[in-house]
Amino acid sequence: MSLHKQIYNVGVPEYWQTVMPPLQHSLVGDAVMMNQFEPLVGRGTQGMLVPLAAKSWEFSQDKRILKFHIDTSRRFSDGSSLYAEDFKRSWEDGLRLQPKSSNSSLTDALANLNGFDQFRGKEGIAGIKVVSSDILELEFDKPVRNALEHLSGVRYAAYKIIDGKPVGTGPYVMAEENQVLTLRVNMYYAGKAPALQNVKIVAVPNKEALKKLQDGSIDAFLFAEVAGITGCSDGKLKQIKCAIGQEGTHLIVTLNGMSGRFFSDSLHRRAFQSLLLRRLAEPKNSWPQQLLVDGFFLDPQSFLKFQAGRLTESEAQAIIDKGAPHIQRFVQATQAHPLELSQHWDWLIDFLVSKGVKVGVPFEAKDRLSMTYKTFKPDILLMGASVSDADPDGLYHLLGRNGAIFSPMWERPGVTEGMESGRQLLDPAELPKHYQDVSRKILEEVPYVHVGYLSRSIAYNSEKFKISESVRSRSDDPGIRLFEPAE
Amino acid sequence: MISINEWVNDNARRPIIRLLVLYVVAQVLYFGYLTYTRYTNLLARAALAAESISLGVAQSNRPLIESSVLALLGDSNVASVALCAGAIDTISYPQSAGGYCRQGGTDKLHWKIIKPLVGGQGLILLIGLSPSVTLFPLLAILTITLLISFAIVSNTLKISKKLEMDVFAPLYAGFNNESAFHIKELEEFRQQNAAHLTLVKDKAAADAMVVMAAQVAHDIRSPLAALGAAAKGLELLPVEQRSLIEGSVSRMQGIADDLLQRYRAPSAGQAAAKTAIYALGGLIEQVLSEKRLQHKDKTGLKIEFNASPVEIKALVEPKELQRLLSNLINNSVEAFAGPGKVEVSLSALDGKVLIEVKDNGKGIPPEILAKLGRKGETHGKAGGTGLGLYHARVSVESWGGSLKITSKAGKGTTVSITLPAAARPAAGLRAALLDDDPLVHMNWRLAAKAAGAWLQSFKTPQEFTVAAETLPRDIPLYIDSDLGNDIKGEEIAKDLREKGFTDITMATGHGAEKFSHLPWLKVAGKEPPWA
Repeated sequence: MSLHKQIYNVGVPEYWQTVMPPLQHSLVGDAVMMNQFEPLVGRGTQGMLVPLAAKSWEFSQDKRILKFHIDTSRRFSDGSSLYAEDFKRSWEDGLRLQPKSSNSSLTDALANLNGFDQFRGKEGIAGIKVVSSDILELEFDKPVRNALEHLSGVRYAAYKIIDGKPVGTGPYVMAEENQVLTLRVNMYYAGKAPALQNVKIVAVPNKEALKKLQDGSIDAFLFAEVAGITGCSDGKLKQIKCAIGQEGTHLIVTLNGMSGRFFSDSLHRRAFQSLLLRRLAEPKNSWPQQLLVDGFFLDPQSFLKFQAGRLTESEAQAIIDKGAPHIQRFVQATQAHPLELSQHWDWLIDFLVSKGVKVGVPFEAKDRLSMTYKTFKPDILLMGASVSDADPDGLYHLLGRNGAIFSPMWERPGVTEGMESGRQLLDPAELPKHYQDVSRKILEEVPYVHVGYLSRSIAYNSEKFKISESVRSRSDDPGIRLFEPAE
Repeated sequence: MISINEWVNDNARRPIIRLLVLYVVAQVLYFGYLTYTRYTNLLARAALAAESISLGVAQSNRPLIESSVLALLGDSNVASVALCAGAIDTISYPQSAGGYCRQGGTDKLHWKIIKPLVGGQGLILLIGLSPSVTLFPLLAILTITLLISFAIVSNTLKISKKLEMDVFAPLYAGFNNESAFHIKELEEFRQQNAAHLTLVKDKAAADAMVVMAAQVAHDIRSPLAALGAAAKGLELLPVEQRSLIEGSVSRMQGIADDLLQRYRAPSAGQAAAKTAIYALGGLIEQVLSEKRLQHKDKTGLKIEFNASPVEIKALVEPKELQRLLSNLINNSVEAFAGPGKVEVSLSALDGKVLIEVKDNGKGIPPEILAKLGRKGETHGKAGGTGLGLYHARVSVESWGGSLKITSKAGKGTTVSITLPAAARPAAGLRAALLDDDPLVHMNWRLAAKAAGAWLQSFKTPQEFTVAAETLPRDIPLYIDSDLGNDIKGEEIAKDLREKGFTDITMATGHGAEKFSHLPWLKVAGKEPPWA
């Protein structure tokens, strides 16, 4: 079949909810929208920032002014050219939209801009200046060390609404129907034409991913690390292969630590952390099946190995172990207050019950975003959060007060303040000590248990695709642009 | 002298093998150099990476570590990079389920570079190399080279065998063999050779026939001369019969002379036929006698000869003259549907000789008449080639004469041959003959008697030498070219010339060209000069 007619079906683990860049809150949304929209900067294959919509950029001496030179040769898929104004408009319009999470997904990078706090929807943000059609200038009240890295997220892309739908300058034009995205090549795309001409993206439940890959319903599955596919990287699944990258996802058991809730008691939280991590410290062959997947490794710390903020293993373990004396108290407390949790991890429920923990009737976690950011119903909720950057400020989106996926459920002032002040540190030598303090507070206070990391993974049918670049870096594009037709 | 195999070994197989070995060695050296260079460059890059990663570890700068590792992975020789704490991967790119550090970073297909990190808490940098990038292409090229080498050597062996089978084995059998060659050029050569052999055989047979004919001709010349001389003395026979005998003898002599002439100068052919002055009446009468006998069964046919009362001579080739007259008479006879008359006349006037062959047949149409005598033109004869009249005209013209045809439809045709008249050669009334053949002596004596001439004949040079002192120095001397006992007539002629004899003629069957180196020597046949 001609490559022009060949349709490639790509599965993602959940519905992307939106294709509006400023409303992106999930890994899937990021991967999907990368096909249609382009932020100012991107990531190269070695993890370094590279020009995208901006041809170049420059910081002021005090790191408060960041000036971009926009590539005005780029064009939206309606044929119109890209200008600096498009970014200001896109960001301000995006901030006016009702976010899915507690904060707008744009706040990670923009919250420190001059005039951001005064932005109420009518007036623009003073710190976003359109100097000319091709120069965009950002003025921060306080410097943000990792501002550029945050701006590489697709949620900061420029977009236009054409016929009620957003369009961008990326390689594809997307159209959605019945929760199926159809991708066609953007004829005005300024970069190298994508290898795949016709692509459909569809949400596939994790449990069905492998089956659909094998029966040919889908040709690839993004974020396969969450699908629990085993044997994929060892060639045991014949034509189904996996490309495994670096740590891409924090695997977290979030606890509702809001005032008045069960885990607002810090001793309960520490006891739970200790109880759970003790279980996982047992030999790997006794682990629950859900964790015996390619690319998962146990790690109780939220900062990566060798990252500023990383504690020694012994110190971290010592902090964790301080919760052990309170396990009995925790178990007893659940008798009066059975824990509310979803069905997502059956083994966790079984484990807790086996330890005497009283669990309420598990409920179906249909809308975890709503539970996390709006209703706060559960006491325990499983969560995957992207490891966005190797800089410790990469964790800001999860733990920072203005983080894109920050939730009041795990808000602790000591940590949020630490994340806030940490992002203003410009001297790398100051980072380890500062973030180690934050790291200790996370282990001691934050109502979640960091279970470990899942390496980024893409499962694909090697008879249909070949991967043009190995998924080595977490910052590599996880989207379909990695693929080339097998023939 | 060497065998084919040795030749192929020396000139093809060994040189090719030497070249291939040299090529493989050069390739190995070159790729070895490339591999070494790439490996040392990689070691340098690994050392730099180890330094920056050490710094990253010391500063808890994960981005620095990651960019250093990813930069290493950008090298196509690098398959994996891991930071190992003992057997545990702390960081590994790309992720491996088995763990690079536990495997020690090496297996059959992957080699490693290990660099301890400076102040890195016992960490080591483990770089897994990808032999597929450096080693496999080398092995692939070497394998291809070896396969090609094997194929080339194997092919030279096959070529050797094929040469032996297709070329040399048939050559051993020879070009005279009837089996066809497999090689086109050799087969063409064999066929040419076969054709040549056939020609040689045919020529040998023809030569043998010619030699035999020449021998016969030579051997009957003397008896014929004697018979001719004897016939002249048969005065009791009627004139016609005597003329018939004389004519027949003359024709047989002509045939013998012609055979000898062809034997001696085969390329000269008819054009080189010997011409001489002959009395034409006898020649014509002989032909007419033959024609009368030939056509005696044709009722009402008359062949008449109106001969001149005086002897008429001309320079002709008698056999050819008789042949063309025979043809002309035949033409006339064939012109009759019934009775008819052919008149042949011979006359002389004003130094010209005129021979006419006249018939009263149906005649020749004017449009045909104008073309007759040209090559390929014929009239009234089924299967005629048109060569008879053509050759007649050519022959007559070669004797200095002309041929003319006149005809009237219903009246008849006349062919007129005009020739220059020849005077009788001044042989004189005296002559001396030196010849070892007694028949020749008899012939000459008869002729001399008939002519009233004085002849003195000798059988050996000794006899002639004794008598030579008494002979006048201007007497015509006739000497045979072969006097027996390997005595050559021309040597005798030289001696006699030195003794003062001035008129010496070689009476021989040989052509004059044989004696062209003796310009003072005349050359004539063996007939008496008074014929």
